[in-house]
Amino acid sequence: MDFQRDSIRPLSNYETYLVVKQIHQTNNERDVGKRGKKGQNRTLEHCNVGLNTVIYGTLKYLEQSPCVEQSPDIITQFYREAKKFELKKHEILQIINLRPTTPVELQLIIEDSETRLTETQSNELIELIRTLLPPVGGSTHTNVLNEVMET
Amino acid sequence: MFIVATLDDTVSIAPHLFNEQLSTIVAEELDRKLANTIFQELGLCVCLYDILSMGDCILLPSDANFHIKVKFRYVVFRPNIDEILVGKIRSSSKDGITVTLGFFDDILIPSTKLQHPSRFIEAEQTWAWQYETDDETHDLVMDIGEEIRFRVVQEIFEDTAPKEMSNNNGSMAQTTNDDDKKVPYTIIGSISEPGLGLRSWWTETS
Repeated sequence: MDFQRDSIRPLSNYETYLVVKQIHQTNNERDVGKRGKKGQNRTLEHCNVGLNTVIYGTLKYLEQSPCVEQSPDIITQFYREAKKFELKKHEILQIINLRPTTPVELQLIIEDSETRLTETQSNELIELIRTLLPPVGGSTHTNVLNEVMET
Repeated sequence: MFIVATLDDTVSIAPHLFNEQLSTIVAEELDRKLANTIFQELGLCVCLYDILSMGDCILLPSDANFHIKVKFRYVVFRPNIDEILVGKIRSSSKDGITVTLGFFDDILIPSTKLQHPSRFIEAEQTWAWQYETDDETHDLVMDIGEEIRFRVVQEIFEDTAPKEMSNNNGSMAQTTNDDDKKVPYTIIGSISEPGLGLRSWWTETS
């Protein structure tokens, strides 16, 4: 087995979350379906311990990150707005993944930020992050949803 | 932190699976082979992204299995050098701190890459950053389970495949001992910059 070195593309946390969640759901559904079907002894065939372990771990990790609240619209809108700060692509990707909200966090992600961004610009960028990227578990919309689900 | 990589492989399918849909079976076989394993020089394989193309099914003499060439994309965990990640402290020792992401555990922050100055508290087996204010020093303790933000500074891939034993018995015992400790993919992290370290250190208090 071999991989093509030039074929590697970055994947945002949000995209990974979608893929992982999809697999987790189909696995669950299949588990339920399997019990219902008689005479189909596929238990061993479908028990992929490695996949289940890594999917569970990744899902748990991503569920605690800001990506759960994101959507393609939010990401494209933020990307468009963030372009004017002349950031590199991987820096924008990290901002989307980590959602930094303090100047010190931003400095970590943006290389050489003191020379590349003025203080006003970096404050503007933080403001942009705060308005466009929703915080982890903080948006009221999901809270309402959870309450509805619980009752 | 995650990437998609295009890979090629030949998948072999056993006869009792012939009645299933081909793409489903191929996807399952690939996941069984790759998921949760370290691919050398690539990273930790997570799950199949999509199948790009499948070749013809080939039958070989004296083998009932199908063999099929597949080109596919796989989701892989491979943080860039200099990327910032958030994890949880798994353990501490004199050598440094190990961090876990839940699905990946082999992250080490060596004692030389902690905030300066830091000290190791023997009694509690934890590291503490000796933060100096104008008149006194505070010990900021890094407890196990706390969320920690770090920078990836180095990655180490090590081939864990069994080696051919050509030497005599004496050195053979030595190599088996070494193999136990081998970790295929290790990430070396650093927290020696402002903004790095425990998340709670840098949250705004205003």
